[in-house]
Amino acid sequence: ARAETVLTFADSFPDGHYLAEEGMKYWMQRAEELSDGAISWTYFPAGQIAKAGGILTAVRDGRVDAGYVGIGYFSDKLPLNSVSMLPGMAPTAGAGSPGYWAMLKADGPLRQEFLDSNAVPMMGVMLDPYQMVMATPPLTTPEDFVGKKVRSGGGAMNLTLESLGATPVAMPAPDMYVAMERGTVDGTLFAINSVKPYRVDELTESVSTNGPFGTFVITIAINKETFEGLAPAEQEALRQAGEETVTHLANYVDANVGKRLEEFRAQGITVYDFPPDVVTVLEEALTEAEADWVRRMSDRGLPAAEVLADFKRRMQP
Amino acid sequence: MHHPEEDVVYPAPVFRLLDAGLLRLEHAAAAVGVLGLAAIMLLVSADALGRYFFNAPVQFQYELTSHYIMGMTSLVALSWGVRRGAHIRIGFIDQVVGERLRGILFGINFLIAAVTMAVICVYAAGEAWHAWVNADLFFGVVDWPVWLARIWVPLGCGLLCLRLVLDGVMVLIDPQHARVLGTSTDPDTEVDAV
Amino acid sequence: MSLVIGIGGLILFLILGMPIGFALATSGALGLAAHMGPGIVGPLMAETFFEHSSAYLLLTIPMFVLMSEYLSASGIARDIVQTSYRWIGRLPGGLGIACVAASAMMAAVIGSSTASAATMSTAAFPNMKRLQYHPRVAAGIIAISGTLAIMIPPSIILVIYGILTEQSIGKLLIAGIVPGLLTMAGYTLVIVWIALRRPDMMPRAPSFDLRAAMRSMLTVWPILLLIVVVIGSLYGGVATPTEIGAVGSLFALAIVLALRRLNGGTLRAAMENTLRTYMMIIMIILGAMVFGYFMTYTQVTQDLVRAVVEADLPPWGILLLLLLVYLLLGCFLDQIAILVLTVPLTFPIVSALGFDGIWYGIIITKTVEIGLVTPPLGLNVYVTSSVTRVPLGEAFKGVLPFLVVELVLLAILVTWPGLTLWLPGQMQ
Ligand code: NA
Ligand code: NA
Repeated sequence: ARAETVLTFADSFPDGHYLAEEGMKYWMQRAEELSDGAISWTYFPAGQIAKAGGILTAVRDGRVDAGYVGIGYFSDKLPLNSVSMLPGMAPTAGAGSPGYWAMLKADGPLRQEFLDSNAVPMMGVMLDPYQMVMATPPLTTPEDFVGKKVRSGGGAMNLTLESLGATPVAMPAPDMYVAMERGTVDGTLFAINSVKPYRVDELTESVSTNGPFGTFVITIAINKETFEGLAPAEQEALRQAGEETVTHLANYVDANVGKRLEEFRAQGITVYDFPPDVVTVLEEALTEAEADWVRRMSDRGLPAAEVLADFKRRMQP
Repeated sequence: MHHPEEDVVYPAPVFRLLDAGLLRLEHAAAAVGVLGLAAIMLLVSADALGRYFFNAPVQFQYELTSHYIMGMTSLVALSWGVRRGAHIRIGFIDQVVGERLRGILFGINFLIAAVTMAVICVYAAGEAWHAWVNADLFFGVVDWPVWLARIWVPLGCGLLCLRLVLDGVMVLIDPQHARVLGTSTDPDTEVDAV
Repeated sequence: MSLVIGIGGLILFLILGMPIGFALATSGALGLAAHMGPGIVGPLMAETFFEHSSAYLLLTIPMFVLMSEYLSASGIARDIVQTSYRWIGRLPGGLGIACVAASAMMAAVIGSSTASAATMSTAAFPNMKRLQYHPRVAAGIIAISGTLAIMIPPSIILVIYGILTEQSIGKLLIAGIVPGLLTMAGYTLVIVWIALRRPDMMPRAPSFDLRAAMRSMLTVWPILLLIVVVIGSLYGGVATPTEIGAVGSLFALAIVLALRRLNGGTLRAAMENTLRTYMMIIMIILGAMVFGYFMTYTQVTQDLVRAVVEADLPPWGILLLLLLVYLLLGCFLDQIAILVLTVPLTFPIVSALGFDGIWYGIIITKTVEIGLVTPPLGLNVYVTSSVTRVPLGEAFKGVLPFLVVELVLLAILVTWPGLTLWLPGQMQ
């Protein structure tokens, strides 16, 4: 059928990035198919419309109809949604994403944060947890962490790093390659799947696999008026496409982690598990990180404890 | 130090008064901008050197700089810059038209630009107000108030808008002042440095 | 229609003498209003100013300007120029060549062309003028030499290309070295040629006096110290490419204070000059961002590139046509905007045609770099003109002879990929 509705979509992923291919484009394409071609897209990739931290506002204002919303960029507008980024919530994308997405769909504080920004969430996926991607040999004892400088996204990740005596370092992503090359940092907390896109594998000597360091969480949101102005069948197509994307992307992410780790081994990178004594320290730290999060969110008058309890109940083991 | 641009004497007393008032604000803004530059230099250096030599980076530096200091330093003194002739334009038209028309064009350009700045100021002020009312916070090393990050766009662009209106109207009234205000591309003006 | 309003408006405002930053923002706003309706223009501009004024990566620009202001205000910059004049001032265009060499050295620590041009404008121009260099020629040399910062590592543009295409950032940075040095040699040739043809524009030193030259070396140790510390800090991992400007200006301040070559008054002047220069640059950057978003929404860039890659041409034809488009885009768009808008479209095609990804990165970086000095939107010339107060038209004229050699260099790099790929090929 001929496209009756042409919508604009913005993200900030570079060309061919798996989150664009298997997340953003997948959702757009499924929506197109499920609506029998009634919906089609004008796609602005790679931050053409706004930086990652500006897409939610662009959706809110209707400067773009729909777009990628990375939870980590919006601690001001989507504070409670950051519960999904806390360390130790889910070991895989498959274990966490269905629960988070269910919570985001239901009437509740997480969905309301999007609606307050005039945006309707269409899908939400928790990626694979961050791991220690280091230009050093594996960190196999708690002492190995002491004095290591590690790039981190801040917040709860800093607490877990500091619990073992490592030093969290903040820097913009484009500086990371050079910083790791020159030894400004010893490594970075990074999702396994993001290592290749930033070419950090060229500099990496070891990668952990079982560290509970928190997760990056990605969603798609659509402008509320745009969504409500669509025909019921079109709305349903977008909704259904969202459901399918959550499953598809979470499966892809988990399968791809395995594939990437294989490639790393073939490249001569050491892929390893933290031993129990390290995990114990990390788990103590993440309890502390949770408490810190609840305290700071509650200070703002937000129902943090309830959200955290609800969220943890929905996580699969 | 002597700044030729600040010698401009505005024709009507009311303009002189308005200029003097605006200039006070602009000097305060420039002081804030200079403080911002110094703060960036010191904080970023302390972060890097502390990280390298003592394994003790200044944890809050990255967030403090990117949330507040950069925006403040980039915007607060825009108006002061224009008052100091810190704008680049293509001077082609000056050779084609007479002094009177040149002044009129100069004034119209400034007034059009003032509208653009006013639009930015109004919408950015709305965002800052919104962040203030909702008491929005960035969740970082500490909780950072959002309005304090958002306030610099309306402040900087608002002040700039006032300056553009004042100079634009003044030049329309007395076109020969365009020559003085437009000195920034005069090759014979000595550069301040050295 | 919106394209006519936006681009036509820009050209009209520029001709009528509106300051460039305002012209870019205003014409971008008008074009957006025509294309998307007036409702989104206000929010878009407000968010653009907010997001782009507070970008952390931006801090390299004011910090490198600050560093060079300290050197200028303390007279150290003058000492360096004086010393190089004593050593090679006798050669045709000697001081100009020294300026190119100094820019290349700055390029080893600066990753942004704009920051480099601003730095050299502050440090070198007043002294080139004092030694009777024609302002047009001096501004031309400074503006074009600033572009070396993109090619010689570190380089913001090459890192962004690497992230956009998943090419090895390490190899890209190394691959820029040989083209960067070739470019430097090309500029030197142009300077010698101008100096021989127009000795009045670049007067030579009256004589070479070895004793005076040796004695003048005594005055340059502070800058040598600064260079060692700054390059050492960057390559030794003390600071990141973004941070190095701040560390450099702190060291520069420490040195000039230790030498007692700065007092309260000159310190304040250096800070105020930095702020003034930065205000000019940031206004243009923010205006260019608004205009860039307008161009994005119209999709004209994407359509143009799409038309080229879908044309029924042999691989070399497509490549050459693409480079032509990039040269054209360089006239109207900022470098990063061009890469972000076009590379996702062109890279897969170019790779499929069998061209090397690293080589292509260097080639288009070189091409968009040329855009930094072409009118109407030539950021390096804007910055140089504003800091040196050489009229914009004069500065563009000063750059013109270098443009010719840039095109020749581009042709050489396109014809012999080995020049670019040999050095990264030596890795591992
Ligand atoms: Na460089
Ligand atoms: Na250009």
